[in-house]
Amino acid sequence: MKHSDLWRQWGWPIGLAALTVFGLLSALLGEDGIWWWLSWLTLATPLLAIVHHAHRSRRAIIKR
Amino acid sequence: MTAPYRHAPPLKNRVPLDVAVAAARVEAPGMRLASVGFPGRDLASPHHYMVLFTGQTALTARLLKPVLVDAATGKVTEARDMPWYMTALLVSQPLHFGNYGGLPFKIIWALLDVATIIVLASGLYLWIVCRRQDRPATAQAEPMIMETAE
Repeated sequence: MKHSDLWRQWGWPIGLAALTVFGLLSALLGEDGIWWWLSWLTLATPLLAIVHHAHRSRRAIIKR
Repeated sequence: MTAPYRHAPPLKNRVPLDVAVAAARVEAPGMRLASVGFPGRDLASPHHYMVLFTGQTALTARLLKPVLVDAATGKVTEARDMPWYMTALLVSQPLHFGNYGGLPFKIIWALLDVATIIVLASGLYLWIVCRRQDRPATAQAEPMIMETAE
């Protein structure tokens, strides 16, 4: 597997995992409102990705 | 921590609680008094007050610092910080329960739980139901084509 393929396949999962870890830790260790907001935003990205792709695959099925 | 007291005679008089707490407080400056175990009870040894302190910040509020105070003399026997693995365990406790970070955090946590359950349930469905349906028709079965949604 070429290096670029590997990155193409795993880039998003790794990115989402990094965002999730950041969100969990910033809510745990941060005390200010800004850290909690950052945690809410970063933890919402996997949910948005799920909604976006679930919607897209539904549309693809209906088109066929 | 209490090994030197193993053969000590039973405690006759104990110093007042205030004296013990005041002595312990010196060992834990700036920390909050969380709990006191009385001599002979579950938390403490037969000869000591066990005075427990916690930190004041969000990060240290879950960290306990135990201070053993000799109940006969009112002097501190020993004060210790938690070993690193207890620190890690106590700090990471909310990561298991998800009971921190405010209401939006909890809602997001619940939605991510639901997504995980869906992945789990749909995976079990594919494994059990689809495999059973496939088996008799293996000969003519078309290879499953996974389409990427590009």
